[in-house]
Amino acid sequence: MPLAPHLRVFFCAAVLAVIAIVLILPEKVSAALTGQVSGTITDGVTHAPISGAKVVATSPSGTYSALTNARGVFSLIGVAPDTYTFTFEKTGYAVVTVPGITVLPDDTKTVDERLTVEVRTLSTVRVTRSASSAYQPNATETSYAVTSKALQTQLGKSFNTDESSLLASLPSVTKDSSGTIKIRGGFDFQTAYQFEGIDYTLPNASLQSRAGNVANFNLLNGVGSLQLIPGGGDSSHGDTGTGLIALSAKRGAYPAFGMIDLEANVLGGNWQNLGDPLYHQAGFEYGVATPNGRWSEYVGFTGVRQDFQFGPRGSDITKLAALIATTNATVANTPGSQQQDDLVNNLFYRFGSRKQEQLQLFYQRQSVAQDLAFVDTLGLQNSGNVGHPGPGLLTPLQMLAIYPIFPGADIPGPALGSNTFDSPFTAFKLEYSNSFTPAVFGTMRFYRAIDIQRESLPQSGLFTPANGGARSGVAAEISAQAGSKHYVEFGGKFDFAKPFGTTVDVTQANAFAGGYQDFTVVKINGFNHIQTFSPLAAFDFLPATSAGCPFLYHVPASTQTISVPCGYIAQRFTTGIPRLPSAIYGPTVRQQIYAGFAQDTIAMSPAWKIQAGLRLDGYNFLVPDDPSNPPAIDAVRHQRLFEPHIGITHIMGPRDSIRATFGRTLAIPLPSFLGNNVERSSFAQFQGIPSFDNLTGKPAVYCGVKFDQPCLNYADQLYWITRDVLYTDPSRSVQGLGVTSSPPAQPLHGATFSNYDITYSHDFGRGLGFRLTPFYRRGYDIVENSRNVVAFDPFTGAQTLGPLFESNLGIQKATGVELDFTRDADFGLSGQFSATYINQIGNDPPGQYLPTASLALGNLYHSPNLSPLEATLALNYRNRSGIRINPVISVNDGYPTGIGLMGAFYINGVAYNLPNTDATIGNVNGAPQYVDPQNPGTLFDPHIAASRGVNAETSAAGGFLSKPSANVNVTFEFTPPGTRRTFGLAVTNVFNQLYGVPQFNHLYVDPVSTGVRGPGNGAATGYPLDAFPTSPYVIVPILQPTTFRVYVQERL
Amino acid sequence: MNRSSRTHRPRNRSGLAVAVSLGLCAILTACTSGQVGVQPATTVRNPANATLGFAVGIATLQTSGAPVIGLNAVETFRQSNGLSGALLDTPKITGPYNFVGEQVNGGNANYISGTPPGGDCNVTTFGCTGGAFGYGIAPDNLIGSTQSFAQYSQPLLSQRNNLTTLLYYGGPPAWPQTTNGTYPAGFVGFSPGFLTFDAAPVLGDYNLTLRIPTGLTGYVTVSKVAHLTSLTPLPALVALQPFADPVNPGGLKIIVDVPSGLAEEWVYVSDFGQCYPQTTLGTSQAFFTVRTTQAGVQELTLPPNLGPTTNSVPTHTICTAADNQQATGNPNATGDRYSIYAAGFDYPAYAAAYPQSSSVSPVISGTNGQADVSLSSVQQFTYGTEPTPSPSP
Repeated sequence: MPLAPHLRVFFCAAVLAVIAIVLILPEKVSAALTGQVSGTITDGVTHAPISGAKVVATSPSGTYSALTNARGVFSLIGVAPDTYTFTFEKTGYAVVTVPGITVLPDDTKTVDERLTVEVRTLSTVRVTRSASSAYQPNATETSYAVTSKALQTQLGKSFNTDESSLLASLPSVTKDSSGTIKIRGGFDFQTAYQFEGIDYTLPNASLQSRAGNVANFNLLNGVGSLQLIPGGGDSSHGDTGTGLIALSAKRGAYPAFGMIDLEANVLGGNWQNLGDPLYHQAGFEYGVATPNGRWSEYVGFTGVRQDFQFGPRGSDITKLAALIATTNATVANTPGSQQQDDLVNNLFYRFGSRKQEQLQLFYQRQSVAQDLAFVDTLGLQNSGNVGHPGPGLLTPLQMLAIYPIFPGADIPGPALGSNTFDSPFTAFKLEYSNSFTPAVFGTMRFYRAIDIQRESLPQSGLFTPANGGARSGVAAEISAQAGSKHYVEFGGKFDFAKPFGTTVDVTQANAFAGGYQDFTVVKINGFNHIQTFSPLAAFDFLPATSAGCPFLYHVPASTQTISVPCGYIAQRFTTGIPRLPSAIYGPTVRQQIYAGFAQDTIAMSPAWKIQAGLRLDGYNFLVPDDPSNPPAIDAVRHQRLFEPHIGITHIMGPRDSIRATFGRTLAIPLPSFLGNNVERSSFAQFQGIPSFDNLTGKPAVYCGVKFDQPCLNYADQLYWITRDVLYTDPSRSVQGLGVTSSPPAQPLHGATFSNYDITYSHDFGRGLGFRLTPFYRRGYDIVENSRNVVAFDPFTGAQTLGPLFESNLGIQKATGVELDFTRDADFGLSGQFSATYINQIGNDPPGQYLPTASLALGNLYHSPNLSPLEATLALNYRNRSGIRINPVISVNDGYPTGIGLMGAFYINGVAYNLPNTDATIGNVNGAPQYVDPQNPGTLFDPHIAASRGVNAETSAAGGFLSKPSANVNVTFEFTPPGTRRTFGLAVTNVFNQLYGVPQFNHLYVDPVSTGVRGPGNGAATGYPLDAFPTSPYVIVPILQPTTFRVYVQERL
Repeated sequence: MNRSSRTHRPRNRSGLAVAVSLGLCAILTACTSGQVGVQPATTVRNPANATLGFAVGIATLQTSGAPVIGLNAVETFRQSNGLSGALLDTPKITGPYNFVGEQVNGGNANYISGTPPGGDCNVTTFGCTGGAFGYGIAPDNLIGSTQSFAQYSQPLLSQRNNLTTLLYYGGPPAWPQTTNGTYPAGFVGFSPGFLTFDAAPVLGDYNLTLRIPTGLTGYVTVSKVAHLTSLTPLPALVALQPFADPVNPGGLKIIVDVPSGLAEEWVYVSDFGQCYPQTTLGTSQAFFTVRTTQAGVQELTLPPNLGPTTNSVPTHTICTAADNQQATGNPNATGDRYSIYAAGFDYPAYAAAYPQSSSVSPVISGTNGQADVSLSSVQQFTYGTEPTPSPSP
């Protein structure tokens, strides 16, 4: 059948565009946003196919129709996500109506019917299932779907905004020890998030902040359905790494619907002396459409005001904060209070003679402001690690004179005031789609997401006026039913991400004042000598006659004292001496991300279905070639990967099916080029001044990537000191134990994964579905960051950790099983039981960092942040009197814990696995074993005189699991019959269980098997010893205490 | 019948599939072997079960003038495996009523003490860091963030006679070389076991009490009494005569005259080697020890290649002028300036020392029941420019 001229033009243009995109500028494709339904209509008696039967699918989102062909086959494509009623008509047969068929984005659903002559019932009784049912016999990819109804069950109530808990309740998802969502293990940034097909990866994402790579704040609003695709999925998904979370917005409908939701905390989680924490929530949604379905509009808003309470009820917040700051950086940054607003608008206009064309305007605006009450950077500032200069050598008066002033403060130094974080996020999409024919559907869209972060963190010395980025993209997809067997899809996408903005860091000024010891290596007599020095540029800024000048600098590890003159800079500014410059960090690099795909879903027979596709994922990082500001980490600027995807489904019988899938995926690395984002502009006023090293009285020679080149001028000198503190070059990774080998100097590139799974699913009848999915995921070239010990403190012997080394030396092997039971019912009992067992083997041991020696040795551990077994039971009981009870019980088996009795270390430049003692770790607080100070033995054979006394510590790190945990939430709801009003009570953490992950208690002065480090002995001066004094391990709470919230909802 | 079998076949298949799936689960679950779901717990062994040994004696503290007579204290506090009985304790040596120990509130006390947890570290002789370990009292209490392997520069209370204090770390060849990168950072050498005080000894009983914390507030004490029955000191040590080994550059020959009455004598050589490679020491100072058990004049040998190493590359024990000229680029550089001094004992000090001894109760007293020691004064020489020795043995 020839195409209409305008369709032919459009079709040809689209095909050419896609071909061009695939072959020349391949683009990235997101998950499809509409579903497909196909099936076969047969005679109920003779089983002969019925041609010319009319199939009509109706939902508030629209109506779709088709006629069966000569083989009785029909196909509906481009079907908007919704729950449909299907009607099958053919003259001479009884009309059959099948309600409750839910179609999701990226869904390929099969609905087969048998029509019976003059009989008003179906010849085979079918039970309809929602898309969230565990029994999905026809799907060719593994996915878990949550409809709005299931969403209410999983979270207790509608308008519950907790996306993290929703995801954690699904198979394949584990909530790691810091509460971060992971799909089949992996790292945070390997999981992809999309809303309405828009990639929500932050444009300014950085490897330095792996967890914070998603633009939306786990805030559910206006979500009509959620689709979780673990593993490879089909070829329409890209840059997914370990999996994809795809959200679809609600749509307007006729008749209109709406709801107002008001919720408040009434009891629970009180802070000591601070009363009950605040929780207020207001929600509103309204969806409307014209009777003819041409226009539809949905708007949803949710606003939340809340405070957070961690730890047991009545915990002293200040002591808890101090503990957290020294043990758990993630929780340390958890907001003390938060204000969230989220607005979603979804507008559709359908036009054309058959309303076959459609325009969509989607808009989301999030605004999240946080008061980071728990941040305490004391531990960070005193860590002495590279990148965090310690206190300078200046006197308080000298600091007052020349240190930079935090924006908004009057004086330099530790400014007081609350840490605040404000992060507005906006995304919008304009999409055109067209059902050219009942068998061909095309869509094109343009979208843009803008993320801005504004931070004022005086306690950390960081000020970010506006830092973020914009992601713009276009995508096009074509799907077509080719004959009765083939459903063909292909498409492409192109994203351009442009980060922007700066961050001001006043703490780096300490690097100019001796707060940072630098190391240079000098070959003497064939040996590497480490020369330690502290840049003292700050004294150049003091007047020559300033008190305390000249400064007598004692050279570390020697008897040498140097008289450091003052006034070098001060004498060059006659109109006022400038203060030390703050470090200014610029944005990360611009990125182009692209992909193209083609796939065919073949219905080989009613019992067999195969999907085969090929995808190309790739990216370009547009790194500026600035020789004066080169990246400290080399990364590939262009990478692409062809990814095959295969899914085979076999329907074994009326209630059983089995499916096997395979997919390759690429996790695009976060675009951080460390060292490239130190702005030279903040040092510009010193460009005309010759370089000067006041320790030698000569021009400084510690500039350049390897910090061994003459500095061009004083601005260059300050720039390289700043960079040196932040990003010490790995090639200088010299430690007291000899020269260590750095990770291979190969450019960093994205990790790839091979994903395999097999799903067996069964329909028990009466709405009860079951499926079991064993899976295996193998990661290659995993991006790992490790650290080296670069030196031992000459005075204390304490380790100095070097910068993070980014490398592709990582390994990930995840094996597991996902279990899913669901029961659908409008009344009575419904719900879902899901369980995920995962055994992930990777490089990361429990502890604070991954030693490079461990990476070099290929040591593998049970991934420390993943609980081997997590399960959730969400039940929903609803009766016809308007009562609903909704308990949600989640459990986990604990987290692999323990530093282990063995660790990896370099000795004389060679990596070994050695006993973990205070002699190897260098820090008694982190050591499980202590050597005899008078007879320590060697590092290979230490004489262990005492231990930390942890019985469960095993040879390998992560050798024992923390305590299993269970959490129970219950929602009670009553809707008086005949009314539109619902009253509810949501109780969270019913049994007030405060679980977390055991971590070394740095505030606990270690008991050892012989001899005890008692309290108050000066070991932990300045910390509140009574916070958690009685255990070498502490449980950092990650759950809030019991809270009671009431809510009222009014349906409009 | 046919209908019946068609009806049941799918169920059989599903049952098989479930069984296979569950079996697979079981196999996968086995992959977590080695993990146990327990909450960390701690065990604290009673340190009071360790064995405390204690001996006192007369210390002959040699100065440029007449020797000063002080007190020597030797203790062993060991677990059954021979290692130190505690890693944190607070020692206190209480002498006879007329013993002049440390000053307390401006007055003289008859004891020498340390500071228990929570106390003022600056008002006692041992301070907070001083503890009694497997072989001698040392500032190695496990406090702070890092382990200390230090020894006192002794004698303590040296301000009374303004004595020069010296460090006594057992090094090679008498002890194993610890400066090759395989020992803990900061471990310079082995403990000498003795600790001398510039405090006039008086006859009587000396009680060593160790206060050992067992928890946040609790502690146990163990004590041992030693008897000082003789005030006769060991003879002063004869000045050492070292000279560069003419055959083995970097080595030393040392002429020593061991007085009779000594069971053994240790010769310490300390060098800040200008040619040493960077090591784990955190300092470029190295200690070497040569030991003899024979009386009379004799020539001892300090081998030439005992210097600190990295990557197992040997270095000269004492840097020669040529070494230093190459290392520093200064054509006029001389050989290292090193220090040399000695300690003599009337008890088997070496046999009781680590790592030779793993005994719970090594012998730490001589035939008179005391642990007497004689310490020489320190001499310094520039390698290769030492005076010609006389007389030769």
